[in-house]
Amino acid sequence: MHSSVDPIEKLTAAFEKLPSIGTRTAQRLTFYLMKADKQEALSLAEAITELKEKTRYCSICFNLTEADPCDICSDSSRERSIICVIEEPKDVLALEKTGQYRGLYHVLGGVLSPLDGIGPDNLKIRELQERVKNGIEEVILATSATAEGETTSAYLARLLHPYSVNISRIARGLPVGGDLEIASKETLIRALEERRRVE
Amino acid sequence: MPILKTEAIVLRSYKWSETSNIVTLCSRDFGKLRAVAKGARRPNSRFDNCLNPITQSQILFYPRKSGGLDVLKEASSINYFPDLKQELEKLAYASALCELTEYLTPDGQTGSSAYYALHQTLNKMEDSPLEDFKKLLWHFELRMFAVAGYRPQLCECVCCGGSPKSLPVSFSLAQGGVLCEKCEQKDAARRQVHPDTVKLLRMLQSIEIEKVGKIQISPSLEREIKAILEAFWRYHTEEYRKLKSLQVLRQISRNAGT
Repeated sequence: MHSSVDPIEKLTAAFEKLPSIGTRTAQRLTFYLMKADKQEALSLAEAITELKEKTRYCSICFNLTEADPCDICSDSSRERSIICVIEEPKDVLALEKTGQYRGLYHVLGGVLSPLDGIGPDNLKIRELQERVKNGIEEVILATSATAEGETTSAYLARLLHPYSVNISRIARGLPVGGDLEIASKETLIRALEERRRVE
Repeated sequence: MPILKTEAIVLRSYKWSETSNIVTLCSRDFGKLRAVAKGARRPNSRFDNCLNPITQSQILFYPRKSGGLDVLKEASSINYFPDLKQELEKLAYASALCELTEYLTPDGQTGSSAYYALHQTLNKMEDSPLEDFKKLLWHFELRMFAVAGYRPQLCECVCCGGSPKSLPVSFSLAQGGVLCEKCEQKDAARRQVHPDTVKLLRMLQSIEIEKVGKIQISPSLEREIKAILEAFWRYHTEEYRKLKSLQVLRQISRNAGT
């Protein structure tokens, strides 16, 4: 009897390891897959296998990719003198969706966060320095507007200052669709500081 | 269920779900709180940046029923300590204060000493040069030892109340203070420390925060103070090695040395 439920327990335990998934959710997912069409379950297993076997980090920008270098780094039509520095690979997707940016990326792999024990040695900062030395004209610092994101940007700006590159920081302030009355004091200060002339 | 209102400093914030965070706060009136902030991760969240770590905010919350989490209803920031977030080393020191508070404040303790110690030290750090941060951290550590019930006895012998006269002074980690000549045999693992180190620790323990920056400490005494405080920490709490901010500070000073 025990061996017959072993795969269920095994899969439930595997789901439980995923972020934001507790025992009950893990059990629900397991029983959903039990009842689901065999092909659906197999394609999920196949997708997970492919993810681990075919996906790697680009050796230039550290974005997730199937081929190394990634599609963006090997695309000759992109502006090769601009690097946008971001925290995580998912930020590439967010910026690419805008269709407004045609330069290259550099994924740091996180932000400087002393509370989490993440210092400069834990991020791809040395690799960024190496890239900036080779023909880069502008670096856009696009880390989040959180405390850690701000500190990371300030740290990078100081670090890259000796190189002859233009360093810019993405604008911070009111989010599009955001109400002025519920914005915090700091958000409004940023919004006022970074206001621009209306043409 | 009544809504409670207080001022608090955010010690840590964890992602709880796609849209919500769990925050640990050091509050003025209710001690350490762990609360869920529903919707805090949404772009137009009503919490905005009020729940970022190292932010002093006024909060409104529903207290937990039993064993659960408090639920935050509203937060508005009072001080974001922006200057501490402009430099990695400053952020690491400020984070160390938050970590120390989180580990050394017992759950359910409602006193406001930890809140005022943290608030005053963060405010003082904002106005101080980076060179003073180390001393402010030690001053804070000594205050927090008192909050947690580990206040080291530095004036009289911790065993008999006598006056230690030997040079160097014996310091007992286990007893939690200095030992006189008669009592020093009671602790075989006692440490020998320079009398000036004990004098400086005593000063740091009793001095007002405004004057901490004026204390002059030689590099050799700095090393001894750091070593004795670390050893004291390690002896009395397992948490010291978990302090990640201090690991980052060590990384920064190692990189600066290379």
